[in-house]
Amino acid sequence: MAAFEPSSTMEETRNWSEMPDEIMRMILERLSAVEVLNSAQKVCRNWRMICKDPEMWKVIDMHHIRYTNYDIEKLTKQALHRSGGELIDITLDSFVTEDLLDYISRRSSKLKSLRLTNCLRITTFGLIRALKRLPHLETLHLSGIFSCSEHIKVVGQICPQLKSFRMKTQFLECNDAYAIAVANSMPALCHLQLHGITMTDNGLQAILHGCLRLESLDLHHCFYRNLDANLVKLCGDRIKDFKRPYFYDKMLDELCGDNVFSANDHFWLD
Amino acid sequence: MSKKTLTLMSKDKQLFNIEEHLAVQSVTIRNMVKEDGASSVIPLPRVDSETLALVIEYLNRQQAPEEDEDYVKKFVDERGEIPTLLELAQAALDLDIKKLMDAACMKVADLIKDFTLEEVREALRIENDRTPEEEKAIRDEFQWAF
Repeated sequence: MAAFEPSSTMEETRNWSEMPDEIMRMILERLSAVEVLNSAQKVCRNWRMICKDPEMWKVIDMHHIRYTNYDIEKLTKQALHRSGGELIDITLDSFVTEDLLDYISRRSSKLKSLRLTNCLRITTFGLIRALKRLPHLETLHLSGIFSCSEHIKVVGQICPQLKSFRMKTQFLECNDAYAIAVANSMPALCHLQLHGITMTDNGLQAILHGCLRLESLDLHHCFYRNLDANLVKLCGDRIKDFKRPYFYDKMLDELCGDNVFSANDHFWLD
Repeated sequence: MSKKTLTLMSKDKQLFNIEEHLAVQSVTIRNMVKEDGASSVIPLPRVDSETLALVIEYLNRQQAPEEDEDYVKKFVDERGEIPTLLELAQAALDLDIKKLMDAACMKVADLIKDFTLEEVREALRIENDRTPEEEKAIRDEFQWAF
């Protein structure tokens, strides 16, 4: 290998705004929407042009950001405006209101992926109203929204292309209706995660029969009654990535004694 | 049989040898080898010798570095200076070494994300070329949202 001298003079004079746009774009794409809107787009003319391209805004992540100093709802609207209707993937945190969800659904008919975490301000009705405008949705991840099996049926019907469904909720009664609703209304699912519901073999059987394309099934945080070891084995054989319920039967009785479902418990939030 | 080597030339005309089976992790070089056997020197007119030495070090790792995410991440982490990372990203772009380019860009983004505007301009030696009219246009653009 040839020896080399560090070319310090060259480095000192290099102006990085002359870098290929492709590199700058890759760097800017890795910043959060808030970082781009609040600062990166103001750096220079070239960066501003890159940041105005709707391609940059196909994926918007507003999850886990520090939003004490600015109005996150308004920034979300700005990001959405930049996307020019091309949005395909959005993640929103507890700040989201039904109005904002409505605003997003009216402007994002191409949306494929919607993740709402800790969304205590959204009712199932508000959610369903928005979903009706999102016929291409393939991924729906929800936590913090209280819903019943009837709602799940409706969600399955209005989002026929759903491939990935994740629900963190809290169901107090032992009831398979929830799992059965998923099984009957979401036949195209490849990935399913249920968190916080209580179910038995009947619910699991329904999922196995209804969702034939499942590649992953995560019931780790479900409460399970009358666990049948054979059925669990069948799931493991059929589904590539199967996470069995952690709490079941005797363990569950002990847990209920500790009042795991108390109102102050944030178990069902992310 | 001895292993075949290729010669790469940086923009400051330094020559570097590398075994062909390692060099073809670069898609650009792989295509050249496929087309004409790449018998002569391969010129890299936008890559300086210092950066090319780093790229060679990266490619010379015996177990395919492009398939080892931890190694790629560690490699760029150890070269945490923004100018080095940008040169590395551009070299990886020209040579089409995808994971290295991704990791270098990711690292730069990580480094600048908490910077103020002025700090970003300073670190990347970018001049603020916007006119006062453009500054105002940016401020006014989203007035409707406030």
